[in-house]
Amino acid sequence: MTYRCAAITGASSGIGRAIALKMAQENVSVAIFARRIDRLKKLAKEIKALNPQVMVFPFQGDVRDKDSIERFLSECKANFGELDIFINNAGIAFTKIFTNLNTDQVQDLVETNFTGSVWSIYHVMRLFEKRKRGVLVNISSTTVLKPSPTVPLYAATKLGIAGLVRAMEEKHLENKDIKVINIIPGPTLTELIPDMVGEVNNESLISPDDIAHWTWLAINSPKNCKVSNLVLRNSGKF
Amino acid sequence: MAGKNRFGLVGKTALITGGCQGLGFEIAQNMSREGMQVIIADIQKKKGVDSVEKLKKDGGNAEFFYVDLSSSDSVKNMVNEVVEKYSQLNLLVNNARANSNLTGEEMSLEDWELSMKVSLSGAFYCCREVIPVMSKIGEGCIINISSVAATSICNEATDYHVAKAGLNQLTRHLAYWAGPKGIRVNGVSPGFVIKEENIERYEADKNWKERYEWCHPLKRAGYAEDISNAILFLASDLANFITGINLVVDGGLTLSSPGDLLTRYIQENG
Repeated sequence: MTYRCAAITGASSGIGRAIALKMAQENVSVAIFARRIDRLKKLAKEIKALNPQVMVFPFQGDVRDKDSIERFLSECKANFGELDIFINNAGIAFTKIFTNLNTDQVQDLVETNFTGSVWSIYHVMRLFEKRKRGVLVNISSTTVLKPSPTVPLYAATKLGIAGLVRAMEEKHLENKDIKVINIIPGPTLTELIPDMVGEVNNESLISPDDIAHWTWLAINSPKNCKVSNLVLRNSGKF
Repeated sequence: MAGKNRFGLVGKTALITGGCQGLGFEIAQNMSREGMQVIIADIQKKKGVDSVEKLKKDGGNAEFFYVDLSSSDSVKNMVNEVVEKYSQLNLLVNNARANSNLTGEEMSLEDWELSMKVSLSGAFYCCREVIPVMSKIGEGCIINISSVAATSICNEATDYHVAKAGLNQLTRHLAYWAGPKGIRVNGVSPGFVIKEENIERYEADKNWKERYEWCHPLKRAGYAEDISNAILFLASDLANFITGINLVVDGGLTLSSPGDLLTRYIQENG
């Protein structure tokens, strides 16, 4: 199976950025979506330098806006044709006791991580179900595996989406041409980290490149042996 | 839809029979440049592989699959292999043919049978295998390469005229029955098309060129690109409401009647 193009949300940094670079390395053209267009343009340059053969399409958008994702997918089709892979990665985090978050932070977390993911998965699965093919990768978190005292609302948003993703996976389990993959990383060295865990040494964190490496392998699983949930861990602290 | 995917074909998969040379290759090239994954199905293995290399060098995605269109089993196997690898087929172009260029009296029965099997049955076998594949996703496009010979007498080849006439009705019948499944079936009928190897001569030889200019209202013979562009249009989203038609691409060649030609000839030559 040759994958021709992928769309990635939250591609301006961290895991999203690492996955975009990995895709480009594997000759997959990428549509990169984030709020920070300057970061996206910089990433696009990096990608073209890495592999001049792939196409890159930067798109400024906000997953909280339901029309933003819809427009993104529509422009992906207009520029790239049929989309093969969608990486649902956009997300934010705050390390605070839940009741200490201010109301804006509560709203942002829920709207970005939960509502934003709902819109993304909604529009993408409609597309994939119509074409009866496509790969959805959801970037989850080990905070869904056990109670998370440090990031409770973040964990709640991730756990909520995990419920939706596993329903999608179950629905299309026997469809050889639709894959729904849940990547579950432990704490990873991204821009979310200072907010997430306060003081922590980088050695206990996972590198975004390693997440990208395993994501690519999961996407390329044989059709009759799909990767369902992939937990990636480093430190036992989290 | 604006953007580079105006035709709605980028990333979709096209299967072109007889795609390793001539018009078939020109079609493959046009689709490949439009961003389609092109599959060339042909009985000629070496030419098939070479043509795929050419498309890849040009920046396209292409693969060759062997097929003997005179055998329904071979067609079935080929389509199965293609679907196994590519999961879906969005466009089928039935272009391959085997013709004798002889009249009914001169050709052998084997020639006649092979011609019908490849040019007519072959197209039918491909449609038969591909329609269920396209039905699964509720959309698809089939284009049959016919000829003005389906409806006017052009040369000596009896088998060619008959096979193309049959192909025209196949187009219409399948369009009717496959339409509800979301599949459009259309035909394209070229008139005179200068073969690539003859283009230089055509451009250089004034006498030869004049003969073509005389009988075409558009004052030239056709090029393979004229045909492949018509196919690009019919395969695209721009033609989403077009099915069961036969698009004649002949520069106006078949507009005139023998009477009109005779009149003109007399006028011009006394």
